[in-house]
Amino acid sequence: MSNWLKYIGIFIMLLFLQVLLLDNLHWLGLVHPFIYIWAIILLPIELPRWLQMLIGAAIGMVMDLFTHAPGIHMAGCVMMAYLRPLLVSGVVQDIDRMKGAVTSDTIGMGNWLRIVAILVGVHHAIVFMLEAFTFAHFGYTLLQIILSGIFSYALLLMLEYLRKNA
Amino acid sequence: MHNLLQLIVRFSNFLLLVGLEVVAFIFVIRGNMYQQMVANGAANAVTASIQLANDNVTSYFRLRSDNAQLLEHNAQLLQENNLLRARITQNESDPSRPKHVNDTITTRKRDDNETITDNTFYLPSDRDYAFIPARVIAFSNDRHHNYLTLNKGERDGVTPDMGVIGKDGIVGVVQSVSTHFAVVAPVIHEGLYISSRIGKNDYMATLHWHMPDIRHAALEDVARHVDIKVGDSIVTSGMSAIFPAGMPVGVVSDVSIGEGDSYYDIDIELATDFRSLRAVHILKYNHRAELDSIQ
Repeated sequence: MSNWLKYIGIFIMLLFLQVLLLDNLHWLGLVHPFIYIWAIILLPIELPRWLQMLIGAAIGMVMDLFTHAPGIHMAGCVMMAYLRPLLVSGVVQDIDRMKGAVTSDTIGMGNWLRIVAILVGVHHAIVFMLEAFTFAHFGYTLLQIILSGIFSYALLLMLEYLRKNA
Repeated sequence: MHNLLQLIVRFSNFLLLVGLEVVAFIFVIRGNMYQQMVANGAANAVTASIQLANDNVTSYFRLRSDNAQLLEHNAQLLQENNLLRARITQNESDPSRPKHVNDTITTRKRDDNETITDNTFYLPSDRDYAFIPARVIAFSNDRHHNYLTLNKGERDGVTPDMGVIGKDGIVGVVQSVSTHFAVVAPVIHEGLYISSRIGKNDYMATLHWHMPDIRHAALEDVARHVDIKVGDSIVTSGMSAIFPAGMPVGVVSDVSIGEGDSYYDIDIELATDFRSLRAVHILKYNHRAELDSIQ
């Protein structure tokens, strides 16, 4: 129970960071990092997969409320929540016995770096392509995906570092 | 049958994924409907309240530049006021002036005892608009469908489809409202087409913005025979009740036409700079219901 309270606390903190700070960095233009997705990476891996996807959808919908663009983050987050257990089961011996969040402690730093890179890439690709909703300026969209992805990845790495040393 | 059930159980997670993605996709496509739904609920109020709290803190850091902007706007208004005052004196001293003009003015004059509510003032014109001052408390400018959140809502008389103007020109159109807040689709929103005309010859055209340059938009539907040059001003057409005619939209910054094309490619530098936009006015057209009932 206290684990869930802690999780909700972290989610609210992430949401505030995202909405109040990162969504207001208008001078960055092309780059729009998303760090609230850490909440999906931190979901307990032992939860049933359908529940993970529903929680992912809920997290995405909350984010959509703040950006006045329905469905976009929901689509990205559901895909992340679906892929995460698949990716983890690829690197862990026995996923059924694994418990808790996906962190560098539970799956190792190398695996964490690889899995998070894929998850960030997939999430950002879906979000920016749905936002554009056209392939007319695909070069621009691709640049947005790559630059924002790098930024988000660096921030997530920073958060993971902070968590480890907290 | 048993096999089918087994198959469904085996792929249940994948089916859930597809189901949820389809729902998300429907939300994306029917964006506006969902937004209306959310706007009427509490959710919009919560998100806007958080944005307002954020703005209340950060706005202190912008006080100096905001002040400078308002002073500049004030100076413009003073100048305009002087000009109009001069014109009135001119008219009054003109003996040939038709009598009914003066009558119209007096009938429109407000009763001295009548107090004007502090956040609304009226301008006599052929189309009556009330101005509701508002503050931008959140905005985006790096997306295809940008938005502004204003600190005025249903309680202040704001309804969807009202125009919003800033000190330099038009800003956007109110999309949805909650009790205390309004979400505006700004000119830099790809779903918005603004009916405009070329200031010098009244030729009608449509303004449409494309990602990513927030300072420039395109003017569409200007045929080859039309006289248009760099530096021409573009204003609102007045063809809808959203904006009165003649509000500044932007200035032509580039004109080109391909060999054999029948329409110009025109680049407009927008009048409003959305990066520094803070104070705006929401335009409330007083005869809207009447207009809607006959149109």
